[in-house]
Amino acid sequence: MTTTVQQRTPFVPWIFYQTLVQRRRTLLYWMAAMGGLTFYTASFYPTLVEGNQQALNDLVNQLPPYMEALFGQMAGFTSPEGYLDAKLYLLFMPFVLMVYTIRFGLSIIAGEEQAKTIDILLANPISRTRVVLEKYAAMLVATALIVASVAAGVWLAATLYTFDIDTRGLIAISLHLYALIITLGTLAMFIANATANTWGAAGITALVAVVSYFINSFAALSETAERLRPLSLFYYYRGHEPLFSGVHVGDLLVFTTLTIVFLVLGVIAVNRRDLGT
Amino acid sequence: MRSARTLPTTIFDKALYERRRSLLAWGVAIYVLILYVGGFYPVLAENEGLLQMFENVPASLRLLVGDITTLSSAAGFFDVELFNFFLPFLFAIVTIGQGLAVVVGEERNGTLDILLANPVSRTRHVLEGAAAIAAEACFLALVGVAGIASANALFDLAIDMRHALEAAFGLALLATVLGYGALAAGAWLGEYHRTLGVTLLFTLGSYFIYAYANVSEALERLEPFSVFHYYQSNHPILNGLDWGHVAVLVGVAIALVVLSIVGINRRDLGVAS
Repeated sequence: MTTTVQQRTPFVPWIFYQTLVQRRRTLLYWMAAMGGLTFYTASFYPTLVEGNQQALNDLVNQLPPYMEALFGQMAGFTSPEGYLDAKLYLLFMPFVLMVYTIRFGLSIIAGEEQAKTIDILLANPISRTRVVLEKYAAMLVATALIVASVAAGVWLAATLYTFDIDTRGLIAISLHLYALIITLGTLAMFIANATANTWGAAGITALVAVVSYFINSFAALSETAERLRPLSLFYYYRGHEPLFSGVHVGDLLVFTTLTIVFLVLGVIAVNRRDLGT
Repeated sequence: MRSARTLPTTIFDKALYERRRSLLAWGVAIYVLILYVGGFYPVLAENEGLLQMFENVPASLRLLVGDITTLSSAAGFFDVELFNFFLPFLFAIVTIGQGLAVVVGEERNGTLDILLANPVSRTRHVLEGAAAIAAEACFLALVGVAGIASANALFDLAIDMRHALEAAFGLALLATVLGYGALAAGAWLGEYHRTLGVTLLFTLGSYFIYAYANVSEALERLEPFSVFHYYQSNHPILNGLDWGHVAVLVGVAIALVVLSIVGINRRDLGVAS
């Protein structure tokens, strides 16, 4: 006589693995492209600044402080940090990388609905909540790898072309950038989970980003705009200039709070909705 | 209930009908954004010394600090703040979305076979889809012109309306080309995400080449391959359109539509499963 012992199946995050495996090629392309573009842009710093340092400093000293809000940290323009801030982190990186996180966020549930694979996925003995959380975890990891490859591009350029970059600032801006694009990706996921409308969710999220950008960049121009500033995600991203002054824990907490709120709402929405099959 | 008569009967009508609400929302958003940006110019202009200084920036520095020399006019301010990045970004979301919807979107929904069961050729389907993309871009461009005219009236910006019209036309043309890029990629590739990936690569690559050409000779040599270069390098809101550039964009648009027609007629289209 044998007795069967009921064993609990060990927890294995299959969906987390599967999501990363499925998207490995896209992820590698993004890492290579963004790391490469960053390296390329950063590598021009020494040639651009040589011979222009004095003239630049003169120009910058005449500028009123609010110009910095529009064009990045101009007082530091002759420094590698100032150059990277204005050329990469002010506009290009957030708006390009948010394309990745928004698409990822949309794919978590709504993309499976459109591909008509959600019912097959949920036919497994797993809850909707777990599907969302595991795929979301995959988004956190994949996005971290892309942001890290951007930072690596800067670091490599600084090493090969021998200019100094403040490592603490580089890590800080990377963390702030990561927090910003993850927040936007989570918002897109929440809207798509609630409405199943992927393109609408992408559009609304993009608008939130654009409006945020303008509120923050015009804040120094008037008092009304200054009062609106806390409403802007870009204020928490580089309003305190993390590339120059390091991590601002308060900003990251705002992003974390928003992300958790959107994630919880996204999970609730997916559990309440009649998913399309 | 809508009566059968008012429901769309052509692919063109259907495309616009399905997006009527989102188009309206985008129109409102773009209009408000232009007014918001326009409202800040007077604050900048109050400081006359600043404006003079912009005009005196030596050429060697322009590479680094960018286009601030043109900020001494409201048109220059709009050029840097809106036409350089944000308006193309918003317009492209709409037209690329429509470009994807026409072929790969219908395939993914499993509705393309139903549509093509009607006495409509694949060629006609693509042509009407292309017309819808252009119509949406033109609608948003008109909203843009209305926004600039309103900003002019409200804040005394003195932006040349002829240049505004030309810039908006250029913008519509760029957005149309980007939408046709999505259409052509979809007609050949068929898979939604691969199509979107290729379209993004084309769009972002074009933007990167244009935006960073001033710091890199290698990118400068690639500029003729960037559609952004033909859209923005003449800064139409300041200087009006370069009609040679317009001709290139029109040529690219036509080539992409032809490519879409060839692609969709050759491919085994996805059907409802």
